[in-house]
Amino acid sequence: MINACFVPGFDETRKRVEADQVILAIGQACDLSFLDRLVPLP
Amino acid sequence: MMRYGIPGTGCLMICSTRRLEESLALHSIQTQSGLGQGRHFGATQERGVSSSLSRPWSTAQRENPLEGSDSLDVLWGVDFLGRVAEGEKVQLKERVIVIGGGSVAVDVALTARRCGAKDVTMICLETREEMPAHPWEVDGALKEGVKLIPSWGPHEIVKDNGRVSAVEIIIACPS
Repeated sequence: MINACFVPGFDETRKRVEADQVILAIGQACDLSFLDRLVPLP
Repeated sequence: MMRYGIPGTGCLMICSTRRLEESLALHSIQTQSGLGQGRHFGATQERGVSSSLSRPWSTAQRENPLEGSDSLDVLWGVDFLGRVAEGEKVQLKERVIVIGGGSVAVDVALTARRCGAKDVTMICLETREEMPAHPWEVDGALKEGVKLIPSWGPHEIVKDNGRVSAVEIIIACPS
């Protein structure tokens, strides 16, 4: 695994990928929103 | 992340939840969200909190989403995993695009497949070698039929009458 900082560049090459649904999974490892609904187990 | 990253495995979920609760209690860790909504670090110090760890990135992600991400057809990864892990029968459509190249994205892609999505494609900025997910995770996803488009980033979620119809992606040059 490469641990160096990833800094991409972009050019104007674009394309479309057909889809019916999108799930955003960027930066989710540090998403602590689930703590709000974490309820104690019985 | 184990709490919601392991869908459909009740025993592991109970164990991970108990470990999380025990860890928070053992180390006197308090969790709080919504900093900035009438809450501030000064207030936490007044309550005797010795140190704070802030993770504003996730909030920033949600407040600065991709253009077109206000559609009902756009979900967030952890929300999706959480709903599935809690037993909800999440109905996905046929063609699902997962944006991201980390371990959570792989979990999301695999879970989407198991939720019935016929065509699941991961799109990530990184090359296959640079992806934050472990290589064995990516290999496993590919074996389960997940497609991968590395080195492309999302530019816009294209909508048709409010529903997602495509994702416009832009090529990422090597760093």
